[in-house]
Amino acid sequence: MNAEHTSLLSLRVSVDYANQQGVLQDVCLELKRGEILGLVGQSGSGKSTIALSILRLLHMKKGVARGLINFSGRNLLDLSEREMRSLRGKEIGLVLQSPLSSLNPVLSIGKQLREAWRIHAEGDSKLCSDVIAQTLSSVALPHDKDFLRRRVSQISVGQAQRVLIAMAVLHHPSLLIADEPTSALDVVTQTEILDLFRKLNQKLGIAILYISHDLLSVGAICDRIAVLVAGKIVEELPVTQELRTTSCAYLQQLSGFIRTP
Amino acid sequence: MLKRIAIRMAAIVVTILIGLLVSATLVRMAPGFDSDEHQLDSRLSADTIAALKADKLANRNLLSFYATYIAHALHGDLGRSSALGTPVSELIRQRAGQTFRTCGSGLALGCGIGFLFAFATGIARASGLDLLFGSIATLSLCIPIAALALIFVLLRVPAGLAIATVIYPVVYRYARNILVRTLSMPHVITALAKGSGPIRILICHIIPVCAGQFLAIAGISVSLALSASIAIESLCGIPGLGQLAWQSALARDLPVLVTLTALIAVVTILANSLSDLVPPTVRSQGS
Amino acid sequence: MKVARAIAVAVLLVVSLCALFAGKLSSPDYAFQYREVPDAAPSSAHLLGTDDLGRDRLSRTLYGTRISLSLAPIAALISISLASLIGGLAGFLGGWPERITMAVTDLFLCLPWLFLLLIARSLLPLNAAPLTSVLITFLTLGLLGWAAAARVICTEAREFRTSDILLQARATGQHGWRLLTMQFVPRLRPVLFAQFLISIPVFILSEANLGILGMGVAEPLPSWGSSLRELESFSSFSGEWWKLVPFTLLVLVVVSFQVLLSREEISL
Ligand SMILES: Nc1ncnc2c1ncn2[C@@H]1O[C@H](COP(=O)(O)OP(=O)(O)OP(=O)(O)O)[C@@H](O)[C@H]1O
Ligand SMILES: [Mg+2]
Repeated sequence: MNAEHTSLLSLRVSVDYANQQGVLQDVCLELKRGEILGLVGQSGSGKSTIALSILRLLHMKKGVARGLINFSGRNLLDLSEREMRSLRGKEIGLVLQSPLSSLNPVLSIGKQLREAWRIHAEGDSKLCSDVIAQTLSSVALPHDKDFLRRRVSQISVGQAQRVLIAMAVLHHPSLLIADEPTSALDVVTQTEILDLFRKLNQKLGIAILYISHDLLSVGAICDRIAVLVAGKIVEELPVTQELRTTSCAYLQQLSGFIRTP
Repeated sequence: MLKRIAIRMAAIVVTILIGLLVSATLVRMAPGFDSDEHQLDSRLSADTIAALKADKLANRNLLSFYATYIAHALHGDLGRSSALGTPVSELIRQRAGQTFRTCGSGLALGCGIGFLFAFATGIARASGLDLLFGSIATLSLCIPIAALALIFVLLRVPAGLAIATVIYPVVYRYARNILVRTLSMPHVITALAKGSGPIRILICHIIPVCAGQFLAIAGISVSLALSASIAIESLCGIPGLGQLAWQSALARDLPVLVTLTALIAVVTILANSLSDLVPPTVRSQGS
Repeated sequence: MKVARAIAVAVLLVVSLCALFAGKLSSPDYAFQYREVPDAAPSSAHLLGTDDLGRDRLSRTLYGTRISLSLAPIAALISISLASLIGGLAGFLGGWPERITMAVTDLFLCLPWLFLLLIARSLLPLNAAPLTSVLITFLTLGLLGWAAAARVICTEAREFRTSDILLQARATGQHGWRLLTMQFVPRLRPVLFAQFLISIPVFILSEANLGILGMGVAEPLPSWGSSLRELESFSSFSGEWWKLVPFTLLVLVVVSFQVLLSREEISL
């Protein structure tokens, strides 16, 4: 079996919100197993909308998705809510845009991580704490009791971002959707997080849909890039070594795509 | 949290003091204070008149008047009704149980229905339900409480239900808005993306986050219920504190009215401090 | 939603016009007692019948509407002025004046308002002349209704004090009075207007409550509150629909205000 080349996710969707029509218009994306696909686009072009539509969570924002979302051979739009629930967090992980508000302010970090584990796994609490400790150290976070007892208000943005990532990869999903995971971070922390993604991709073979408007970071880790402008994919191109090294020309080219229409 | 509670306690003490001072002043300035018109009132017994007289003799001096008034109040003697001659504390004691029952049942029912409907529309996201409950709530908010009481007397509906009708729309509106706001918060989407089911979302990710705000709503509805009890008890002829307030207002029996209001204020302040029991970080995140 | 707002505006307009031309639409003598036809059903002489003293109900309703609809906004104006004075000053000064004002406002807001209203109302003479009673009633409402608005205005003023606009304006050399009139007042205007609109139905309802409880506008002056007292002697809903007209009118007007306000979400 040539897992390298089979398609993991292929989608073709249109999305309307209750008070805004045509937010996505026939957007097509392909993601192979183990690949990192960068999705870039201006603010408001619909990147987060794509992320939510893959997990079928658009109804939380009063949105409707039509079309086809093929994930390892199944159309997600046809699944029942129950089947979908068993997929979320297990097969597909999601890291949302704003780390601090994406964690529950009332519950401790440890409790939220344990919850994420228990939803999809049986087993005693020993196993649970082991997995959590292991995952936390893989995202370079402490895993002592004191840290696990903290709440969001007591950790930094970068730490919250990592907690979210750890929570999303707890079950080694085959797809991780990261929505602007570096936008709130300083340059050093950004680099660390990017390294982390590369490691997760190489070690665990997790395919990543990396959403960002930061072209530099996208160029640094992605295999391919899709450019979204006002709800349409206007360009898809592979990132070659050459592009990476001459990042200036590359930036110009990309921003050219974004600006043209 | 401790600081907030301290502030509330200070507010309660200040309210009680203001209430006592105002009612003491009113007693002193009341028309009958210096004259002895009570002696002409055939409804009062000789004993009462003697007691009133003794009170007055002791009260000539301004400072000692306030001092004795407050000292008496601290011993549970809240003065006498100027219209009835009965001790205020006795009047209040007689009627508190009735009000407690009507307001309590009304509060329980109103908050219950309000929160239930809010959860129904918030979770189910059915815009039809929302429109229906919302319109009922708006309509009930647009009817004067007293008119509502009259209508309910006509329909022979129990007073608790009338109070519930006053409370439900407020609870429903606030709770619904809070729920909708919380539901669209990112941490709920994160929890959903982890694969949590609706019940777990509700119990772990929505209710704890809203708890402070929900308690605040409950606090507000206590004040509302007590206000409503004036209109409802007086118009339905229920012998409770609300009726007492109304009767003493009509008779301009200010000592009773002011003391009663100070007491009620303490109750509402306590009810409104309920939300202070929840750590404030939670609430600031919610709003 | 637009349709609903348009209907609300139309209702308010029609009702105000009717109140304005009350004398033309009905007999101008709202207090005259037609002794021979007390408690009458509608007829060509009395379109809505007469009350138990034989007074023309239509005329009383229209004149009552005139009183309630004109004095509630005046009371709202009083309370908004008071609120902007208190809230604006507190928010603008910041520090302990703000904290104390906020604490007092909070305290005021969690007190049961009907009790306060009763105290304030019974401090003043109950058997005053009818005209005085009207003024007393609405003045009391206006003077007691400032707390909620003061809170909102204080928050707004605080935001303005700490905002960059102020810094920017200072940087361009504006100061003092000019800053207040050029920057602060225009910014506050929508908030003040919204609070003004919110207060009107509140005062209409409060007056009705006081009126039904017998502590509002004194007879023989009509107001919505005193018209609603008739509900007390009302025995069934089906038989005498004309007695419900003042009630319906009041609810209609308050609903219209609510519809107009529904965009300004009243938040906790
Ligand atoms: N709940 C909603 N209701 C209506 N319209 C929405 C809603 N959420 C987003 N939109 C609209 O959909 C479009 C795409 O939004 P989306 O959040 O997907 O953008 P984005 O690419 O993620 O932007 P950013 O880079 O700022 O995160 C925007 O034009 C936005 O106005
Ligand atoms: Mg986004």
